[in-house]
Amino acid sequence: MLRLRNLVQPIIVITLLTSILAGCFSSSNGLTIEERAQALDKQLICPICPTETIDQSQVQLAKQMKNIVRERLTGGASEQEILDFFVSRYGEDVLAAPPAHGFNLTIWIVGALALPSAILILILTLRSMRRATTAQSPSSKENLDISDIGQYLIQADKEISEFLGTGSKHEQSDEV
Amino acid sequence: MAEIGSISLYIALTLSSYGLIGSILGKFFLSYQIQRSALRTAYLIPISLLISTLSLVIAFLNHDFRLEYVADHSNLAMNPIYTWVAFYSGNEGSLLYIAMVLSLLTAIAVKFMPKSLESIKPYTFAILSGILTFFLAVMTFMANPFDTLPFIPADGQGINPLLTHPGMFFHPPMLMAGLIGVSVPFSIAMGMLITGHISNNWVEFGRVWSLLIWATLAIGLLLGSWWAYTILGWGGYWAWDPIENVALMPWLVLTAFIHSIMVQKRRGLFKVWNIVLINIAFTLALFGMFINRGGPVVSVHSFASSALGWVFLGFLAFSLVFSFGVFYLRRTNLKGTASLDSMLSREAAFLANNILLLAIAFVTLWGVVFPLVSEVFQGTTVTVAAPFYNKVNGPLFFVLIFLMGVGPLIPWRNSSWGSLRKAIQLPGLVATGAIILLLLMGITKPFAFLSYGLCAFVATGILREWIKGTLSLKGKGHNYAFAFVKLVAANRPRYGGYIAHLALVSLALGVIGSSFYGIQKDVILAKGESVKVDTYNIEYIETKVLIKADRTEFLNYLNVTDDRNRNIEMMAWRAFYPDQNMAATRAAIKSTLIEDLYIVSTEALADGRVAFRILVNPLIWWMWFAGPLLVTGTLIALWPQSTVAFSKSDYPM
Repeated sequence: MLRLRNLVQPIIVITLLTSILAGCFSSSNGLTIEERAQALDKQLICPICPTETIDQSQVQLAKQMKNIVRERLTGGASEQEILDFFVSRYGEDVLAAPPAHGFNLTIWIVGALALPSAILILILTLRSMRRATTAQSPSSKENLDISDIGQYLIQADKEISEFLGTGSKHEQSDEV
Repeated sequence: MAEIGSISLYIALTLSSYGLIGSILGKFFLSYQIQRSALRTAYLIPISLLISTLSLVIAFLNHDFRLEYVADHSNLAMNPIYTWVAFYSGNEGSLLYIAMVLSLLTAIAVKFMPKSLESIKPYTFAILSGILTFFLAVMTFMANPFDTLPFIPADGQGINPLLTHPGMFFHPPMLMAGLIGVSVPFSIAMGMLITGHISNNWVEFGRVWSLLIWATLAIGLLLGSWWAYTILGWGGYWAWDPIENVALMPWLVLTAFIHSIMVQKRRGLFKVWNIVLINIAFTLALFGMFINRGGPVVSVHSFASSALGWVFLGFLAFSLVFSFGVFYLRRTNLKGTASLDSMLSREAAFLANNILLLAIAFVTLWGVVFPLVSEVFQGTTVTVAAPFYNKVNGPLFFVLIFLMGVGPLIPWRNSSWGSLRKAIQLPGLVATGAIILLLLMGITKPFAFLSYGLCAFVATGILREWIKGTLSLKGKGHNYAFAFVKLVAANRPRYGGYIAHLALVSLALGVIGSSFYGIQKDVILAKGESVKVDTYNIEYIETKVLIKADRTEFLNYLNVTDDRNRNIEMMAWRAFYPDQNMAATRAAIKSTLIEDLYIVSTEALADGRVAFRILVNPLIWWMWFAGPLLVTGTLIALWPQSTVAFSKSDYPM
């Protein structure tokens, strides 16, 4: 019962954190055309210079694309319409991140599951480690580490002397 | 001279093959003599590789264009100091560099291996020799830097202008050294696994090595960011480019390792886990070198692409099968004592940190390989760049900073919610205060003010520990400075770690500030025209043109007035290299603790006007400050403790 209660608080904290974070990524309104254009620049890859966005690239084509972005935004086009236009022109790999539909959805699902599954793995591991501990009697637990090392040292010493063909004593580990 | 280099390369390959085969045969026939003689190659290989290296350097300095590598990567006009950079600007040279670093590290590791690890030394050495033999064989037979051309060109191709930057003197060599350096702790762990004696003996040696490599990689990454920031001309420092990612992944896993190895050191837990972690780190480091040396992922950084990819992929697969095969065969020896006293303990916090770091590394890897996955499964290529990583890794890093704040406040073994609540009270209050202050200052983007709140939380936790410790030691009659030094000296891994944490807080300040509150403006200015960006008034004065042997330089002078009417002159440098048909830029940067004013000239128009990109990047200075802070922390954590102090402080139970 006590352990269950111990779990409640981290779960609350973690849920709170995750939801706050999720909220952080909702887009906000009231941006200028230039601010919206700069955000779009960072989402479009320059087709002739792989892995550089049109924001980063200094080639002529990137400059032309930037101009198109600004013209269309001024003309009242939405972000999605502009992205769609470039996709129809250059293909899907003009987008700096794959669109979240079809097969490409998998990249986003894996990304989204990273934090929840990390938390799940953590809780399961901790619980199994706790169970292993409580299964041992508390008195033997204290001695276990030391006797382990002791046994190892005896064995190691034996093998080393066998290996060297000498009976010399070796410096012991500083772990004891 | 080049012949000597070529011959000594063959000698190194022969020696290292003998090192590998001799160690195995020696063990097989139980001949200590063979094993010892194999071990001696560890000291000979660095010498012969040093000769190869020197002869390639001399070939560069003498403009020996008979050598294909020299002709491809330098020319007569190149400043001789860039020989150092040209040396590793292609596959062949960087392989030679990697091999030399590995041979040096192997010699050092063999020389300084503690007595308690004597029994695993032959295995560790055999594995290191195996890795070195691979690199030397690839170099000798597939990418030999001493290959000659059938004719002697009058001049070479020249160095890539983007590489002629001070950052390039240290960024690639540190990254490559860091990546190959992971081989050492990996080989120690594997050697131990092969012998079947799973002990804690390797912990201290493995910790020292992995800390050194971890810091080397960190500084390499930071220098790379600095290089990108000052030279690439888009005002950023990190683009989640595949090459950057593959260097970041092993660093993340090593970060997990240097934490969890402390748990083994202090509490004897995580024995198996640590071996798994170092295996993953090594695999990712190999993957990094594979992508670097012409893998299938396109990247802006792949100055050196070649058909070596498949050979590296084969070696990667082999090493995976080898390491996890040994792991499987030894699984019965690996039954650890998985005793955890409490869910709320430092051990548990370290585990959380480990899993989170692995999650970040995994998501990053997933992003790097997804274009290939997509090509295989849906037949189309997709691009995975910054928008993906920012969205997915952003929240993970956020939680990581949170753990960095809470973890150190939880004691080893056991804690209670009551005592934790008491411990987080002050940092929590300071963090809340900081958030309120930030909101009042107009920092209203949720991710930004929440992250800054967390930074305040982490820093307060650390500073309070220091103040408390210093005051209690001061009570014993020391002065403040002495008490503080004594405190840090008493538990170096811990207080060194705290400094590294502060370094990461400093890094976070810069990253968050510039990504959420950076101002960017692209302008075209005629002479005498000015533009206002944020609080700065920027006037374009004139451009001076300088004709150099290999380039034409444009020095664009600007007069900047800030809101307090202070004037400074700035110069945004731009050059055109006709041989390579490339332009290169150097940003003019005025850096203060508060913000950077960053001006780069992006284009010179035909009508005499000049295009500039102007950025105001808040708190960037703190990003670079993280570097020296991190080095300091690592050095303190590494500083050897006397054996007496060691046993006293490490087993407080």
